[in-house]
Amino acid sequence: MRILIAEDDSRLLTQLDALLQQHGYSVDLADNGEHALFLIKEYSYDLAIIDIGMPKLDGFEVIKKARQADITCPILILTARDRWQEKVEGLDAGADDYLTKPFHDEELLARAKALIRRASGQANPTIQFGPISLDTVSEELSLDGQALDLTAYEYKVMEYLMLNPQKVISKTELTEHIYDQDFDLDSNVIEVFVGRLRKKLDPSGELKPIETLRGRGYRINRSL
Amino acid sequence: MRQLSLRVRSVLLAVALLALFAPFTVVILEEAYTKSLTQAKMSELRLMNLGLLSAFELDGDLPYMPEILYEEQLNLPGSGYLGIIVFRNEVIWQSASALEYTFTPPDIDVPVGNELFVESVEPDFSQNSEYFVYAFTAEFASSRDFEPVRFYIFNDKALFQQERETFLTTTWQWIVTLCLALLVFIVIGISVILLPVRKLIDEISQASSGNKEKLDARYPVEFDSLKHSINDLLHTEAAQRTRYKNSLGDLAHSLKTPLAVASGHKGLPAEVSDSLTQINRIIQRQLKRASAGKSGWQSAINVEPVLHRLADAMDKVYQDKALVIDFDVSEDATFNGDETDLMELCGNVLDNACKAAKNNVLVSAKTAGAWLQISIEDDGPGIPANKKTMLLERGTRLDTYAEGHGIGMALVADLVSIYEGRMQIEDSELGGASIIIKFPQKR
Repeated sequence: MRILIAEDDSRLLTQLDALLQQHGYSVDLADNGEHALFLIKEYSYDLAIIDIGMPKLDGFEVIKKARQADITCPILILTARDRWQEKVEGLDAGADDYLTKPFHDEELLARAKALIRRASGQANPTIQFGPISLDTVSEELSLDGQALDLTAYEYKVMEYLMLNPQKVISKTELTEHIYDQDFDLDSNVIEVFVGRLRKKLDPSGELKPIETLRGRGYRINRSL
Repeated sequence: MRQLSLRVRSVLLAVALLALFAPFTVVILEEAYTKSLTQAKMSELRLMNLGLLSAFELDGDLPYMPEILYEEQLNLPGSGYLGIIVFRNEVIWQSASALEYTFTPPDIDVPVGNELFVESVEPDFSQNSEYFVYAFTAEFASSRDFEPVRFYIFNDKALFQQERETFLTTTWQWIVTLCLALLVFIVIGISVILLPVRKLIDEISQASSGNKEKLDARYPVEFDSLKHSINDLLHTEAAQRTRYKNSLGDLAHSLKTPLAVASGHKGLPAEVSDSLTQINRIIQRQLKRASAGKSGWQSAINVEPVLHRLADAMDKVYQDKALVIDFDVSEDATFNGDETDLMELCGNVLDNACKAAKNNVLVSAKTAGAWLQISIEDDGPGIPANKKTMLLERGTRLDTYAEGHGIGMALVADLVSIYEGRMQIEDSELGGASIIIKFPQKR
């Protein structure tokens, strides 16, 4: 999952970066509104965490302009201005939720996960496809109720596929959403992750949880 | 003691002036009229006397007067004009008009060639009656020498008095009528003059009750500077209020970001973490309390759009719960205070209701008599009786309430108190809590 964090305080930005990376997210950073707007328009994010009080362009404007440009990714407002007036203004501008500073890490992570899940049309924190179950809260993938031992990247690939079951996801898109912005990766690595996932999820080869669409990409098997 | 109004003062002053000047005017007019009438009477009697003088002849010691005189009044009995001629201290002639009277020579002695006019005498021939007298003494050649002959004209004053009385009565009638007309004009005039003042007072009152942002009616040129000063004052007050709120917002912002950094630091001892939480709560609550407050010059806020915006925001935030937020909000419900405060207050209550609710939240607002009543109900677990009392105690810390009635409710209690409102917590028909907040409406 790829997240944009726009925050003008460098210390908080670093902290958030570390926190989200530690929880398996790919993070892009912006320390002012203009840069944030450029990134959100340029790249496809699963979530944008945007501070309201930023130099060059404030958070409200970034959100408004992003929405005007048909950017649909969920946006979480991060604000020190905790009046309802400002929260409502932010939500009116197009944000999906707000979080006031200071906040607990757990709360930020919970909100981020909820927004990402909601954006994919999943109301329940646990996503189920046949015997495969993904708990977005505990970040656990289970097969027939048995938790699987996955690497962080394997989990990211599976989470992205399961959160977007309705579409074919190209290797490039997968790469963009599980790795940092400037990480140059050979697309064969994705094939390796998918191959490993298939082995762990379907050792007998009967389930076929991940479909390959030649020349297009991967899709979760919805008929499970 | 209450001061008299400008209109009453003006009318009282006008009445006092009229009460003083009206009698003076009548007295002066009466005096002038009497003088003029008396002067005319003297001239009339002088002419009559001259008529007698010219008609009188003395042939040796024998006086002669024609039977009919040129002055008609002296020929007619009861005319009020009486003429007598005295020679050698005897009344030698009396006019035909004086036939019914018996005369003795009057005491009025006038030197030869002189005249005398007396305005009021009570002659011997007619007691209890007042008369004008004009006397003139002329010398005529008798058989002996030149001897004085005295000519007297008496005129009854009754007619003169009657004429004067009529004049006085008429004058009073007119003066009183004029005074009343003047009073009516003064009252109308004062109303016309005070019209801009009343308009100004009305506009100021509207501005003070928040129904107007500035004075925009047209006034006489004398009021221009006052109008501009009041508008400047209103503008400055509004700008200062906004600046104050913004400054406090900036202060909150500049304090909270480092606080977030400190709180996010890994391995923070529990007591430090608790202290940071405590600091955050204090900042949150005290800064909001400091910036909250009503001003008499704020516009009344329509409650409905504020509640709708909040409900839309809640729909987004609590999307997962798929809550149904119903509205029963009267369109004319207004809040006399700051929109930010209203939003803060309702936002906190509605947020708590959404957190607690299972499926439904009901938002109602109406004007009930002199109060604006806002109630927010939910179908959640409700608030236990002991917590209700705590929530209603202003300033109580309610950080531990599981359903989310945390510091937000303490802020609500603060705001309700600042706006001199009342808060009740009841059980809702929906099954959960019903928070009812009332604010006094401005008269």
